[in-house]
Amino acid sequence: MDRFLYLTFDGLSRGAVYAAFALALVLIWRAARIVNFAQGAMAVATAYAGYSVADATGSYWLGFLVAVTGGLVLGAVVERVVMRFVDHSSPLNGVVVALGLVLIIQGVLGMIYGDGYRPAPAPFSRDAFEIGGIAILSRYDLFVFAAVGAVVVLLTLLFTRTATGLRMRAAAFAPDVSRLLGVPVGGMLTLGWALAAAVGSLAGMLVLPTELGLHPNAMDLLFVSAFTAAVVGGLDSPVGAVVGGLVVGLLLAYVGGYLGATVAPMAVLVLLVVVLLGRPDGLFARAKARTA
Amino acid sequence: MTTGRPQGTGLLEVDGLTAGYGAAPVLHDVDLTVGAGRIVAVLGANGAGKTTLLRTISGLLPAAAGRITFDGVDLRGVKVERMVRHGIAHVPEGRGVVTELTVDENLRLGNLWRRRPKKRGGLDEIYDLFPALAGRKNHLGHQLSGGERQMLAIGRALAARPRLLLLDEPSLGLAPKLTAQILGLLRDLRDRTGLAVLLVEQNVRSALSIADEGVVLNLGRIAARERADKLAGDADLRHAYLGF
Amino acid sequence: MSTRDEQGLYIHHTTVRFGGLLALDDVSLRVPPGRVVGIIGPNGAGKTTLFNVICGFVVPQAGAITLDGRPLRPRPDHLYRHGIARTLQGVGQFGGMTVLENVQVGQRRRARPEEAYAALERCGVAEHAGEYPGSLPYAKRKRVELARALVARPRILLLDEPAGGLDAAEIGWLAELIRSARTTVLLVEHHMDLVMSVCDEILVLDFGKPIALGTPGEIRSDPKVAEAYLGAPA
Repeated sequence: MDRFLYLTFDGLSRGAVYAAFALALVLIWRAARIVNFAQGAMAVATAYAGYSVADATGSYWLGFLVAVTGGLVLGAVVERVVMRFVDHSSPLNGVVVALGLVLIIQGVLGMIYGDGYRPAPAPFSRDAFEIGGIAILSRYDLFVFAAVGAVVVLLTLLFTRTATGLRMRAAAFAPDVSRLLGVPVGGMLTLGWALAAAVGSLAGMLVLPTELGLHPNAMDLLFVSAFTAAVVGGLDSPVGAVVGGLVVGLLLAYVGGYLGATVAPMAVLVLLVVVLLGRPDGLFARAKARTA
Repeated sequence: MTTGRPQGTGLLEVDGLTAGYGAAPVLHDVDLTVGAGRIVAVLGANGAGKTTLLRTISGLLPAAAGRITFDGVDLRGVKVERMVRHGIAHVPEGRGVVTELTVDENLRLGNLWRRRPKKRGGLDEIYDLFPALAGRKNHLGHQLSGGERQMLAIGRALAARPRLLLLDEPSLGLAPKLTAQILGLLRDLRDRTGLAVLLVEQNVRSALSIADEGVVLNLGRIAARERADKLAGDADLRHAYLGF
Repeated sequence: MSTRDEQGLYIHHTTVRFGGLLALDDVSLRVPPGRVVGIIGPNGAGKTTLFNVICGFVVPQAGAITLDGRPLRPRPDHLYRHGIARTLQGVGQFGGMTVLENVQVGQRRRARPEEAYAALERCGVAEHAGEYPGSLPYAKRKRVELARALVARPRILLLDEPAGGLDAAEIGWLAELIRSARTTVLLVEHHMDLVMSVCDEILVLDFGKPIALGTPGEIRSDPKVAEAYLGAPA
């Protein structure tokens, strides 16, 4: 029972990060109908920038800010400079270009920072509190929950309460009609990419301290888990992404805890295959219109 | 043609417009004037270029040659998304209701071109015009019937407070009574607010019943331009271009 | 053997509810072979729902349908066995198939491709046989849709707003096609000139309830119909 509780909390805190990262994928999917396979590499690039600033200034929070702002900028640049010119008549075109971006970003990071792992310290203690003798949550876990929760709340408010959110949704669903109504569709697309990349960078900053550290390929495995989370949630549904992220986090924790760490990545792939076979539109496909 | 074109008094002036898709133009050398507070019906067989004309005016299609001016402003090079700021609203064929958004959100979109949209932006007025929509504010677009979607599309365009409404086939799929209501509403708006309407409509009789002027397009050229009542009474023209 | 009276399509006291909404309220209609019957009414009156009941997409809460005296328990995928073909309001064509292939989908088994081509010819779109429906203008796609329904040589043809988006000349052509089809036709349509000129009989629905049934002349002069549907002339 102790072990189960421990694994559950561990799974939820990992799941929160997957949820944030899946949310980033969903944001771009909704805006542009592209699965941004470069999301992980982009997040690592901004994390390098963030930790460089943190090292130079001694302030983790300044670095954190640089990473997230860097995501915002990088997302906008990628949309404006690269994705805007991709022919979207076939969905594969965007995927291939995104994969190309991964190679370029990882290559450049390797040239600048080398192939070794660099430390990615956490801003809070990762030692878990003990309640009744069971190690449950650390300060850092609480920070992760708070950060992801804040992102979810802010995005929800943006999309449901603000004029810009309504413009973004309209531009994604019906670009031509939106244009006729005066919505700058191109600008909304850039904003969508910028927000998504910023959320991706945030997720990167949250997860790197819990893994081996900074490396050009550091987000590759996380990408698979987050992609699975997004697909489980239906790719189109922000609520689905959050639930999907938590499901994947729990699955990884339980399988890793009870069956061994080497089996865990397999479990994610099995979940992906099962969902694609059973409910290819995701568990939340039906609810998509209502949660939009 | 008998009606002399009022030179330079039009809100919308189209001169020598040639436009179309790719290399083959659909419209050839089209001249057209829509004065403020006037309803001009564009008539003609399918394929005559009626929809192309509206799409070119609102900037969805580029003009190959010719000039389009609105209230003295040359619209060449004005982006589609800026048209609404100039006072032009286009209700496209097939209505263009965003089916994933609610009725209220769709209507609010009509208002969003302003940098700071007014909180309710006169939407209550639109709901007064279309009471059927008021009861369905939180329904999604795809839950609406064809008639309700048409009302929503027109209501949304009116929420933008345009001076010129480009309206493509408002009667498509609507019951005759509803068509009559919508056309009657346009006539009221023209009389009350001075709204100008460029109306593409397959239902020639209904269109001419509210229009001030009718323009017949044939194979992309203006074949006739007449006062609406004269056009409705001109059997030869009707036979030649309108098929009845 | 069925008696003369039972020949044709017979809709008996049919009621359909969607949740709290009464979509069809005790609707009855007899359509003898070869008759052209119009179904008109305001948007949302239940016209398309009636088609959906005949096709088996919607199962009514009460009532029955008989075809030549035998109960028709339709399943959408068995419609062709009963000789029923339908066109859709929104033009439901397969984008990845050519126009000719789209029509061949409507054919009976072991039918020859020439018949599909002939149906396209009859509808005036044979020159587009090798193109994709998505590249055709709306009015042409409507003709393809008609060809697909006609190719099965149906005994009963259900037409859902076939005149929407057609111009006057095309509607004249459509009227001629319906008159010469020599099958039973059920026509849902808002274009009153067409309905009045081709129908032998017209059923008027309002909020799912039949409010009038009669010849075009009777319907035109029925004050209830004017109130609910036709409105005062603009």
